[in-house]
Amino acid sequence: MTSGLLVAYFEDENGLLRAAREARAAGLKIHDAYTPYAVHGLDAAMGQRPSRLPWVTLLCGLTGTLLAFWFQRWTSAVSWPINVGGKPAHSFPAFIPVAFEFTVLLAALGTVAALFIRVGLRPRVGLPRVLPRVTNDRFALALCTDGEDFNGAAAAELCRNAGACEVSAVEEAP
Amino acid sequence: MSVVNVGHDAGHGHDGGHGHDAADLHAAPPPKASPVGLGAQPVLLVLTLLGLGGMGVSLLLWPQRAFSGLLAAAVTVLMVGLGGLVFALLMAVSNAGWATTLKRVPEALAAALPVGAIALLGVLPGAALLFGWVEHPHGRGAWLNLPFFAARMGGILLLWIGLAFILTRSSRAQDRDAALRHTRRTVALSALGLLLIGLSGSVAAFDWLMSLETHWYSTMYGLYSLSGVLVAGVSAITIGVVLLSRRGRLPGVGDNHIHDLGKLMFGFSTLWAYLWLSQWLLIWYANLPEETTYYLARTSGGWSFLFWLNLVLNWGLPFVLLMPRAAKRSPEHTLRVAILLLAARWLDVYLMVAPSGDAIHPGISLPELSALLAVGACFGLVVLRALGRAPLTPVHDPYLGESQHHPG
Amino acid sequence: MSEHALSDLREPLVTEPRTMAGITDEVCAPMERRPSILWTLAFLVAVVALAIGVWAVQHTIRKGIGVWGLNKTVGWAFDITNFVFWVGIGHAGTLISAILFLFRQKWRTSVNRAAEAMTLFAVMCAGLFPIIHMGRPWLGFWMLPYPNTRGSLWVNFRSPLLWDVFAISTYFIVSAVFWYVGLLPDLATVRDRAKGLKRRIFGVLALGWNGSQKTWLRYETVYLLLAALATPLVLSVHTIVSMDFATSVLPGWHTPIFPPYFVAGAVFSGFAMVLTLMIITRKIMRWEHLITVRHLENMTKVIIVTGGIVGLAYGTEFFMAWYSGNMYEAFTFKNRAFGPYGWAYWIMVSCNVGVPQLFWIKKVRTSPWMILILALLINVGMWFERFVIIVTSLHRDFLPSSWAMYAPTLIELAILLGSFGLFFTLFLLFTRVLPMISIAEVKGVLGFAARKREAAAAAKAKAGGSSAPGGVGLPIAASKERS
Repeated sequence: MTSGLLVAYFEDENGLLRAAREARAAGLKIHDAYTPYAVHGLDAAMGQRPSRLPWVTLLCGLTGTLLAFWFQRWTSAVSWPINVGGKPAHSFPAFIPVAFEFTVLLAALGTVAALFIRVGLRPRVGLPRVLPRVTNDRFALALCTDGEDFNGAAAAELCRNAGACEVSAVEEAP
Repeated sequence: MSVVNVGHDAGHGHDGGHGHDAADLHAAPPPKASPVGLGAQPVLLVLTLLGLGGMGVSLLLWPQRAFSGLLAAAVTVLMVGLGGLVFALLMAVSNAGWATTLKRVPEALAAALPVGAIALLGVLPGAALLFGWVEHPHGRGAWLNLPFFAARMGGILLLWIGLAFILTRSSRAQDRDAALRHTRRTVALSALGLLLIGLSGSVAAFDWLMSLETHWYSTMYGLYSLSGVLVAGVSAITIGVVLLSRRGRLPGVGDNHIHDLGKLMFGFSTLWAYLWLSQWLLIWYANLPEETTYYLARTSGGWSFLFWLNLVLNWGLPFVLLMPRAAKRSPEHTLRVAILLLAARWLDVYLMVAPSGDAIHPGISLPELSALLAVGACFGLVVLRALGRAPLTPVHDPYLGESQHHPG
Repeated sequence: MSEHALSDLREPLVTEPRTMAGITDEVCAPMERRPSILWTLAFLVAVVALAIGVWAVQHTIRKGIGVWGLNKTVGWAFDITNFVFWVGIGHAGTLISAILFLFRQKWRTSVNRAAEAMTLFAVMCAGLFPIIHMGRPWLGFWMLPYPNTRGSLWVNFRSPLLWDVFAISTYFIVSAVFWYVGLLPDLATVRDRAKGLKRRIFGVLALGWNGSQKTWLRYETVYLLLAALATPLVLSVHTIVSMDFATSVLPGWHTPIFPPYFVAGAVFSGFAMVLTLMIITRKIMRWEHLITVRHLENMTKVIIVTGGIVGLAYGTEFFMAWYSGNMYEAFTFKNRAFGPYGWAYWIMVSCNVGVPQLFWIKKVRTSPWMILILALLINVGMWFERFVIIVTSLHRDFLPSSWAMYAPTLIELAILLGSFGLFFTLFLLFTRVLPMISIAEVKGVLGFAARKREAAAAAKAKAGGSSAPGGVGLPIAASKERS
């Protein structure tokens, strides 16, 4: 999809934040940023929309609740009702704990699975393409170069002014 | 502003160049107090008098219900006042900075504790009508006898009022002299105060509510009631904060404060539900006749509807209403939920009190409502007066800057 | 935003200047150097203890649980005590990761990783005991509700023991997922500095993490969601464990306060164990500037609070046993305090209610050695709490002719030793193979530091190079505690 990227490296988050803001203001298209930790405020600087993953959590959680209540009722009161300790076959109060646990289990697993699928995290044999040092002590901002009026020199200048220590072109997105 | 509140905001350096400068503060004129709710005060006064009239009528016609209504109203109002106190102490003991800009609201709630205290003491003349053990001594008469009961009640109320007094006094003293020692002293006071409230609150719940059912007992009753105190406190604070900031009286309060209050309402309401469930589930499961009486009385006859409604209003509805992030950040929305939670708080107390009598069906009419009106309106009046006695923004609190720049 | 607004009362958490690369090097160092003699020695001891435990377990399984000291009256004793003890220990990790995260308690960043690992290992130890107690552990899968040829005979969902199966396994799975998700960025950091096979292994484990902001945005959302799910989960687990007892009709077991009381006790003992491990770790790894006295002090405060709730519960139970007028309740509690197991009761009270009160003293709270000793005492006290609750309630039941005493056999002691062996073996391995401190999170609070250092240097230059006393401890990494 992207023909190539212009990557600017920064020594600290401030430069990255400034560059992201200014690049957006200048109408440049930001491909992504790469950082060693979650930079507070970068989402706003890059104009990202909030994630919709909480809906997955809600949906999975509700599924867990309903499934657990239905299954407990079905096994205890329909499939083979057994009198245990004089408790009613359908002992709703006694079904609450397992239903709660199952709700949390499905919600947590569903959320993490959705995250992995959404951002493409999966076990892989080969090593991924990682920009140098971005998992250690450097921050990178990757700008798309395929815009019609993209001016590489001006974009590099903008990043340098924001505090970039190095700007280079990359063929393929990481 | 980050869209996702992950609490990852950057840390902060320790350099004296920022923040306020003590010398400047001494030079600044002391902040001024100004009256709050001047228009509402006469209305509240009239409502109090109306309520008192209603109480007088019901005392003549239905004395038992008049006293039981008064007890429910008094305990509800005490929960609100104590909730304000506990909130202030919790913020102090955990060195929390975010709530400083709104701290006059919990302080005013705590300052109105005497209203609840007087109302509760008003129940004592009718104790024989409510507490079965007055006329038919309990097996443990050493504990449940009227003089000792009244002495415990007086001691507990004095303790709470005393703590509230020390807290508000040192908070207001800081307005004048800007000394840090008030903050440090309040931290020490709150550690001790919370310990004492934990103990006295449990005893209070056992005495004023649980002993209505002479032979029934539950070790959970103390913690269960204290969770209600947390809900009552934070709901009333939310109402106060939203109403005041709507009128521009709390300039430091922003969406992040409302968000935090919303989260606390959500959390405390769920804590209450957890304790409710624990007590109910364990008694249902063990099915011991001496314990099930409590729930039998509340799930039979006309009570059953209110019993389940209580769970819905105190937890189910607020849980759903406060779940979305946007809901917790909207002042209008949190205000509505806070009002709902306060009303539900009264219902919960009512259900602890009223079914212990002989009534087969609940009756919520003049005796209950007039007591609630009198005590509640009077409490509101005293809260407004207390708010007017100190500047609404504690300008010399060392955490004020943090609170006003609440990063969410 | 609020950087300049922090109160002057705040003190810095991380006290020595570090660069981001410095943090990476420092946290990864234990994984990259040869093990120290101390580590090797500790590992050997742990493995020997584990081996003894394994032998005792196979002996139990071959001969049957008759080799334990149980009898007809006391059918639950040592094993269930150990089970509840370990589950309780396992509560602090998730509490630190989830609840302190929700409360924006920044000081958790240096300790959460190790605490979460500790949780997983403690839950593993806990899970072993009920399985061994079955006597025929190879039939353990009968606890799962799967369609079978016996009817299908379903599991009994009305039994709190089955609730336990769901609670403990859910807790283990969710804690493991939470821990792994938290590890992802650090696994990538390790991958990118490793070579050869290690690089390949971490390459698989890191799932292709490349630090992308698109990933970070969603990752942070998910971390918050997991914290919000784990918080009620951690409370539910010990609640359900307490219901193993409280749903019965036995005096001393059946009391509605059990759920919150057990949860508070679990957090109490869990924090004591985290403190024990952290104090030893920071000493051996020389991480005093990462896991500071402030971290320790904050944890002692949590101990004071939860210890207070535990004390309140002890008092309430005793008061209610008298107030109820129920002679069986009253007898049980009299027997606890003054019966043949009275010594165990008083160990419990003095360790759990007495000892934490020493933390009111600032000197005690800030002395790692004192904290270590007191934390160990609290762990002893909490073990005895479970022993007292379980054994003293059972051994003199409603029928005096069936009264009996219980004492553990050597086999039972060996299994307990083995569980400690398992716990420490896993923990020591963890210190060698994974980053023990969350590198990304600590860097997150360092990010602000550079600016602070510049500001300080500028201020210093302005002042003519004289080093002001206030400048000495200038916390470049100042993650000040926010509440």
